[in-house]
Amino acid sequence: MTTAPACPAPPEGRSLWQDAMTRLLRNRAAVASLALLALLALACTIGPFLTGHPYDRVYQDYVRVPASLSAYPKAQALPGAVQRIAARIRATPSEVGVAGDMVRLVLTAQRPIDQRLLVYFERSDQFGAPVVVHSDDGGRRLTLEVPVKRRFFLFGTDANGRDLLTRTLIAGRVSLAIGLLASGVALLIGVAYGATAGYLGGRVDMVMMRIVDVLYSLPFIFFVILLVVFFGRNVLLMFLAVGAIEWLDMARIVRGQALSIKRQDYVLAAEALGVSTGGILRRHVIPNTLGPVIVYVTLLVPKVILLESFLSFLGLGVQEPMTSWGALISDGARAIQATPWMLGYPAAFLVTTLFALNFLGDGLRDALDPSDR
Amino acid sequence: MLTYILRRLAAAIPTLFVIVTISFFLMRLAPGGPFDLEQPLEAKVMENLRRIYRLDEPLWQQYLTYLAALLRGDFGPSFYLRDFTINELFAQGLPVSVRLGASALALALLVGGPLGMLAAVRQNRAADHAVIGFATAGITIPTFVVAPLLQIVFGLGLAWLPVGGWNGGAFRNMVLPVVTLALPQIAVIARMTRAAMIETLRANHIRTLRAQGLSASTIALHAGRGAALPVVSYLGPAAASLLTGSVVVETIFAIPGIGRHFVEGALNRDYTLVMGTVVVVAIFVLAFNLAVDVLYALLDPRVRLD
Repeated sequence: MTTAPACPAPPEGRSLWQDAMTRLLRNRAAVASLALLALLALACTIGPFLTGHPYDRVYQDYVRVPASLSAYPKAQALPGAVQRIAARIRATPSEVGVAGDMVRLVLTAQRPIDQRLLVYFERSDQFGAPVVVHSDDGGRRLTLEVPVKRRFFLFGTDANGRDLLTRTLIAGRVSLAIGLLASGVALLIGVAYGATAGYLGGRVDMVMMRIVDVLYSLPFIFFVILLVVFFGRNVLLMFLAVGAIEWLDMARIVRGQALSIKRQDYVLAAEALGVSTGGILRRHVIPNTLGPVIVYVTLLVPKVILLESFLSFLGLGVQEPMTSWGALISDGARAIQATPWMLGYPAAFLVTTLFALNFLGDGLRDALDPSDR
Repeated sequence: MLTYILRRLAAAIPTLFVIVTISFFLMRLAPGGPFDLEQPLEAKVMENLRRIYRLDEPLWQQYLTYLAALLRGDFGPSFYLRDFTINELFAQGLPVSVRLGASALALALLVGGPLGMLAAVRQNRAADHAVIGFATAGITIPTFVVAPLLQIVFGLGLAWLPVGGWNGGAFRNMVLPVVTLALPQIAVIARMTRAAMIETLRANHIRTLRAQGLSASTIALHAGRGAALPVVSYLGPAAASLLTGSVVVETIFAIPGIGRHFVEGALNRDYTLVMGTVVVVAIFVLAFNLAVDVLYALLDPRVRLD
């Protein structure tokens, strides 16, 4: 028995996608954007559970407080707060002393103080349940120990006293979800429509593309406002519909690709083998159009997010107490001088996301279409 | 060329007709009506109103009436701004919007084009990165963030320019809105010019120019002509949307253009106003697409119109 000569392992082939992946990973801006987007998505998904504030909880004592790394209430604000609460109890505070998370004070009044009124301390957002240490003068002089509730508002609060960090993260959820959802719908319709029109060609193509042309000349904003009118304020439905409008560009791109793909030899081969039209579309045409389509989707997501913020600016978008970056920004833009943080943080999140998506889109284009560099 | 233009104009009429029909019936399908107030009107009043505005007729008859009026160039009376006809509203608002949009477009071309060319000539160097960064910022930062910022800095802080108002189109009043409107367009145009220019700079005819030892600026000019093509095709729809008004800019700077009619008209179910804006925008879009195709043929001798 002779041993067959050792066969060298065949060289590992690299597919188009592997090639593109390598090129993408070499693009530092795109990789950084991808990481940043993942981080943002993660923060928006689990962040709202970690901030310690529900997104719709109103803190009446903390309306429009600026962003701060240290806890509220601030030490210098405590005497004033104590004064206000004491006034409601109809007593005068004195000997106010702050020790750690505890305020010690003495309340005096003309008449005996009704201890039930001490609940005012608890009702405010700053204090916990007070403990009466001493009661002198037949109840006219109470020595109290009141715990201070420390709260963090890292991004400050909005005009209703809601935590802006939580709201920004919740808004991110909504904005990102809307962007992905609408782009997904546009992707499905656009690819199916464009591939069909391009592959079938001839009269079918002409009719289908004329429809696209007509829809193109209709003012986009007219559509959107009509959708708002139809679907009311149901944001989810509305953005499914926005996606159903945004497919026009996608259809054009895919059709152009399909026109050239259908003349390729492998499509001819498939036709000769008797593969059905649907089969050819699914197996050969659509997969080969995906390069430009992926690039377009990365650029469509920021477009939809911007569109949503534009609608929220007009008051047609997400409704309170739910919120989105656009809604937060338009609130902030209205009070830009008094409360700049209300504009700054949501705008920073939005712009960062859009920047990252754009860089990612550019990176993908370079990766999938190397001749363009 | 002339026959081509005429044929395109003839082809635009059915398109326009379809657009009018679709939007007419879509608008009527929307729930609610122009006279629905928070407190409902008395039945008799409502009936009279509906009769005056011919809303009591069957829908197809209203459609024919509207179409007939439209052919005579009559957009009808406004249902909501009851002292005006739509033609009057457009006569007031359209020149304002067009002037604003044209200035923004001119500014965008004058700044965006050269920026893109500069970036392409200096590809992958500092100037290129700066332009790309600026362009990405211009695309991503929403207008309604830029506008208040400009108002605060130049209107309130430095007090150089008025914060809003139109003032008959005085130059001082136009600066901020035009800049706000132009910024995203500058960004897009710069990006497109850069991409197209990079491609043309590698073309054979440019290499020939280089081989002949022509100066860099002459070469850039020749490449610029080729690079203008994709930008021109972008300009068509962009110009149409700019000239017909920007809702956000007109709202923030309190400018009496036609941009806000869109939103208000649709929300108030002002049927004629919405239809009017749709028709005007559609005409602008069709006209600019035609203009772009003609310009294309002038710029690129390889393109033949037939």
